[in-house]
Amino acid sequence: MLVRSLEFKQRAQEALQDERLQRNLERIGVRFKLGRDLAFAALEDPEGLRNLGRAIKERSLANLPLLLETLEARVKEAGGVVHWARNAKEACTIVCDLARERGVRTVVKGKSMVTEEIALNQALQAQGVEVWETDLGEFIIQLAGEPPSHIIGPAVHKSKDQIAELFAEKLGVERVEAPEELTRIAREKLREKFLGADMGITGANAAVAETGSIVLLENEGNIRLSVTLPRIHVALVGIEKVIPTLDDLAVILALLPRSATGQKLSSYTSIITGPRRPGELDGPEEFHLILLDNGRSRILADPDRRQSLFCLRCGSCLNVCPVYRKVGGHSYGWVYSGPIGAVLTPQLVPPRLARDLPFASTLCGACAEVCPVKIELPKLLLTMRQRLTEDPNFDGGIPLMMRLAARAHGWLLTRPALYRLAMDGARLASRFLARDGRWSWLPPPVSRWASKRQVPSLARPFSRVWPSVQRKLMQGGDGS
Amino acid sequence: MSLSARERILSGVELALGFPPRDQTILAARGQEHVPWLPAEEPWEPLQKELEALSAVFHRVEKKEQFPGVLVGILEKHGARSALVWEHPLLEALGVGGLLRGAAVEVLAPTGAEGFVGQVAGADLGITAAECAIVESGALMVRASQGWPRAASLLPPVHVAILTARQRLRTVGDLVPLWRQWLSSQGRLPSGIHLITGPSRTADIELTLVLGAHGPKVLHVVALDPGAIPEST
Repeated sequence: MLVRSLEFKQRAQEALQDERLQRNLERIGVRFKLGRDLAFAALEDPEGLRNLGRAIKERSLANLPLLLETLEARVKEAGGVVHWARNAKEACTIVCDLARERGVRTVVKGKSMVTEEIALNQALQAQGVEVWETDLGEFIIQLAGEPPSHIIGPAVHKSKDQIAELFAEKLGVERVEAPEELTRIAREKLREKFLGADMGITGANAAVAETGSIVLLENEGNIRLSVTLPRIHVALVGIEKVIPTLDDLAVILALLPRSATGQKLSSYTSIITGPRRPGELDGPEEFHLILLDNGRSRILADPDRRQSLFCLRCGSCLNVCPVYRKVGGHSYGWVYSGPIGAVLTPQLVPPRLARDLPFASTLCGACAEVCPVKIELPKLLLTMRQRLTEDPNFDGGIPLMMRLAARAHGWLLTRPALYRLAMDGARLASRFLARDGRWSWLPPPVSRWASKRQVPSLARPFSRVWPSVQRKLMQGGDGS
Repeated sequence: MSLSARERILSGVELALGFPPRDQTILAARGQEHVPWLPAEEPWEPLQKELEALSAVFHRVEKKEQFPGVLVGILEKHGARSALVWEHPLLEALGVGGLLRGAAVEVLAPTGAEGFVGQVAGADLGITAAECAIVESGALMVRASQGWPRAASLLPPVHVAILTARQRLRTVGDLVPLWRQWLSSQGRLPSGIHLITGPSRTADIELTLVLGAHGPKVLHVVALDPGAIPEST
């Protein structure tokens, strides 16, 4: 997918001024966030479960070679085919070749962030394959020609009247606004496609090495249809998704739906092991698993950044993020948004294309509080900021103005007398340039930074206020 | 290309991790070996409560004689004219096929995998036998096998799952020993295991809940008390 993260500031600005988007984004706080909080509050030991989840991801990544080899062997034993793809291009080529060799004309897809990452739809469409996103939210944004704006609710940024217009325009149906009716229209349209599709493409929420299974969570049933009706099932899975055993899977199943939607379990949890067996009436005749690296092994190599790969893609960090909830998913300019997107994007795309994202955070820490596998997101955001400004491998380099300002500030800080003098000067200036305790004018380059903020005027330093306070206290006064 | 991509990814991962030893113990099964089935006498209420919260319909059958009435009631409620029914010992012992024919419901009998989907796509109702229910969440587990098509719990607008009182587990973690039993007896897991937690649903439009997104809009759970379970099963 085309990276548009460099437009972050501009698109965030537009999002903030888009009143309809702001209203649509408000719903996230009610449904998703509250649902998650209630589900965790009902658990006996939510912290213990989260710790267990983190430990599983830690252990899985530390033993990744063994797990990948075991997974591959088990999938083959179950009659599946395993492919390996180092990057988006290789992954797309594998799927496109499969489609060509097997005469695939129509593909139905389950929601998969990894296929967004590699822009698979465009690759298939370029060779004349019809591709249908079948998750309702994904179907909506496919019709609109937009990328998903939320990991769990891809069309959460749209209101029903916008969707009604879209359906009327693209599907030629009568304009209806009721979500029930819109859902029915999508169901009927897509049922046709399911019945005629040759290939179903999905991601996976986890892959179990012990059994060679992939695990798929969903609520609509579109993923089950995608892996039941077409004769070929292709699953694209990032290498970080593999876990050792069924015991580990039980922990992931307890964490993921609760975090994502506040459900104890999603409507459908499918554990798929190879293609249909002899004598079975349905299910795919062929099962292909594509293991995708696409930058993941590079992240793995850096111990400070490795935990970025723990992510289960539940979306809970988006739902609590004060930045995401105002600027929306599209501002982030790529597949992943919110705190995890700000961390992952500069690691999965050329870093200079996403250099603003780790700075788009208040570091309030709400994301770390809800992460089901306890990813230390604020720490990762700081790590990414540091890498992006200092590390030449990350195209590190600070704009000249910022570098000069920082150097001047540092120089001043090491000269106390001069520093005090400068501050006194600034305080004097604020008498003329501040109204109601806020600066009304600041000189460049500070003015650029201040243009989106209300900068308080300078107060007298506490060290100078303290002697008089102390004197009063010593006099035994009651402070009045 | 595929082979070289494999070697390169694996060696890249090895290098990234500093060539970790192959620690087989992480693949070892943990936890208990035996399946902690709930006693058949346990009350149904906790499961019923979860299912109803999910908008599923719960039917309790206390005695054998009541089953036909319950099933026929469901058929009539939906005006079902055709049904896709699993070839399952429990369903046969309950006489499901005969009851359907008696109610003038066509039992779709697929002739084989060839053209199967076309033959069953129009079914009004699917009837399956659940492997078990998870009381904590209201989930039902079904698995694919010969005569047990996945489509039965997925394609028709109405899914009827039959469950006995002996087939209840408390949590999703309690499924693990059951999966392992299958693993050791068959050498691998079934091709498809599905946990079904209520009818199909979506909240993709304004986070408003709508039932029957792509799968069944209605889920009936017919729960058999010990006194309603046929002797032969």
